[in-house]
Amino acid sequence: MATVELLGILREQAKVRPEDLGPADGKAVADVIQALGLPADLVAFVMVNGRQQPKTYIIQPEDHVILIPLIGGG
Amino acid sequence: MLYGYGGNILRIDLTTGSITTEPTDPKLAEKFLGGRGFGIYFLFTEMPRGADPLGPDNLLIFSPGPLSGTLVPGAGKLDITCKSPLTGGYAGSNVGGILTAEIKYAGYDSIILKGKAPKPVYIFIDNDKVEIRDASDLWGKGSLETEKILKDRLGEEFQIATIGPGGENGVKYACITTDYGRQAGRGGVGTVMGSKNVKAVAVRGNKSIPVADVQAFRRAARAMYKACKDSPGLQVWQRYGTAGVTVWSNEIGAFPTRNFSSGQLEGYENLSGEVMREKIVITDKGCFGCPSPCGKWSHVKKYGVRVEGPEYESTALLGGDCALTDIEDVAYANYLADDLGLDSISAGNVIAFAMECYERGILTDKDTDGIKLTFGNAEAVFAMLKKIAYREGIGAVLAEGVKHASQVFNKGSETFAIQAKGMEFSGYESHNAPSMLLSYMTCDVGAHHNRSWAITYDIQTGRDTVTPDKAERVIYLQHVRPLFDALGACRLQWVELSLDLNLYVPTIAALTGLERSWDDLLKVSERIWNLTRLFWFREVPGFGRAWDMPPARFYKEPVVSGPTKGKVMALEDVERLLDMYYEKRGWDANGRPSPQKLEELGLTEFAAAV
Repeated sequence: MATVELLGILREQAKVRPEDLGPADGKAVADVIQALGLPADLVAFVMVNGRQQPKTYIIQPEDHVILIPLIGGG
Repeated sequence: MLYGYGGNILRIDLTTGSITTEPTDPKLAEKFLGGRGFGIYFLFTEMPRGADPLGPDNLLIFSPGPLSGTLVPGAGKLDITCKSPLTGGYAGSNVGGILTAEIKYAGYDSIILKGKAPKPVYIFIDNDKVEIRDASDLWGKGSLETEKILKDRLGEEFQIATIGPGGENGVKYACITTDYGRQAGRGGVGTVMGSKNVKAVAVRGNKSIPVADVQAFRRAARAMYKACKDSPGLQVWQRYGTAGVTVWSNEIGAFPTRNFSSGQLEGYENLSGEVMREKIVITDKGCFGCPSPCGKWSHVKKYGVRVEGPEYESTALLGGDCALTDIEDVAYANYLADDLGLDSISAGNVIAFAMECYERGILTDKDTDGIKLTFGNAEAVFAMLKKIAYREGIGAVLAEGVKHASQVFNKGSETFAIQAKGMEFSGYESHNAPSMLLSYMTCDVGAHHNRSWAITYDIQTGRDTVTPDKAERVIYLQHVRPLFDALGACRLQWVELSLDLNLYVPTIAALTGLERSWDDLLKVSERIWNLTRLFWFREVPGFGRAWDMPPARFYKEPVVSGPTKGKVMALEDVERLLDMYYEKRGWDANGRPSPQKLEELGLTEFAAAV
């Protein structure tokens, strides 16, 4: 089963914890972001198994998805 | 003992050949720190008022900061300051690499060039041995080739800054290159170097930097490194560098496309950091003392060249703004800009402007010598870069910058000449980002993002609202980010890795022996900011509010496509932003610092000279 991890302020801003969402397999990253209650523009990077992917990426079984905000001072 | 500093100011008069040094004044170090602080101090106090930017009276000042060349993460930043030939005002350009450490190890906190050499020269600095050497055989060569020749001639230990044909030929946005691909890009610092007949500066240093408390400094710096290495942001920033931003920038409609008429390029996926990594990147390349090397060294097989980058900014302006969608085309354009010695940001912006003029019929084949200057035509971009660098045909007009070109071409083109204060915008489309637009409007060198990258604040607080907190945020960033340029260190460990700013306080204390709070350091940064503002008022006749306004495209012409389609700022909102900004800065309605603000910052004596 795929896993979804949030970093930085995304942890604080998510309305739902990723582990409470149910399986993410087969869903687009953008839909997962929406289900988490996060503003999509705040997610700067989608890393899947160590590679950057667009938010249209369809999550595969065993994927490890990390959502990274544009952090720091900006 | 002045801890944390090289200890000397080196002055070279290229007209007379005079070379002198003097000890760095501890009071200057306290009041202006170093780096860009030293740069504007010397420029303001020693350059005659009204000096021709390309004349012998202008100064070209290379300044590391107290953190440069030390154990602090990212201690590889150098400031280069002069009066800008592009804008007529202040230019302070920041560059990475290793040069700053070498200058510091040679014992210098500023190297000040003035005058003009009678023939092409390069500056040779080997610790205390400083010479002005003949460079006739180097004149006309590319920036990268020149560096290679001097490395072969002098040895790998020498760190070298060079200019290319653009700087020799007076292109107003010529850059200075070091470390085979790091640029002090903005404002024409390379143009000023060329005007002085200086092809290169080569430096080797073997001295130590005095540290007030070595053990405490080592502990503090190691804590900073550990925080960087533990940062979750490291995986993405190190893999992609600034190119990691390209996808996000397009998704939010902030990627300058077709001369800032849109914020999303169709086919942007082909320019992503991942595509770049797969197709062209050979290895990571960091500056001095970097824990998160964001530079990427690339092999562009399609054209048989190697180049550092492209960075996000080069991809945004040479790529998106000119509508190129092949990463190898963008990388080759980047290579040409680097070797010709052109700022890839200004050059990309200027060519995109010319493309729009061509597509609107303002320019014709006759003007372009038959080049089909349409968006997306990579060969046209390559050809125009060469025409600009050598001032051939229309290149002679475009070499003066987009503001000047729009005044020559006329026919309403000023509306879409994307500049502020005469400097071309960098890589963030800002129709729907009030804080970012204000950042460009009020940046102290012209429209550049590095003083305040506030677009994330717009996203967090609402992109359609114009509220006082946005002006406050821009001012805050304009103090924090340039503070790194005064300290001589990279800000990206903070921006990208969320390195705690409080970690800098004990580190600076252990290095210099002076306990300074973060607020105290921010006050220095505010002092520097206000002094650069005074410089503009002193040097540019009639300077004021009008110079802070963006081109009309941002408040008259809605975005044509992408996620921000239809968005446009209202002119009254742009004016309101500026009003709020001036008020919070303690400036009058024309953007001039008030006597009270200047007194608070200890700048009253400088105001008397304006």
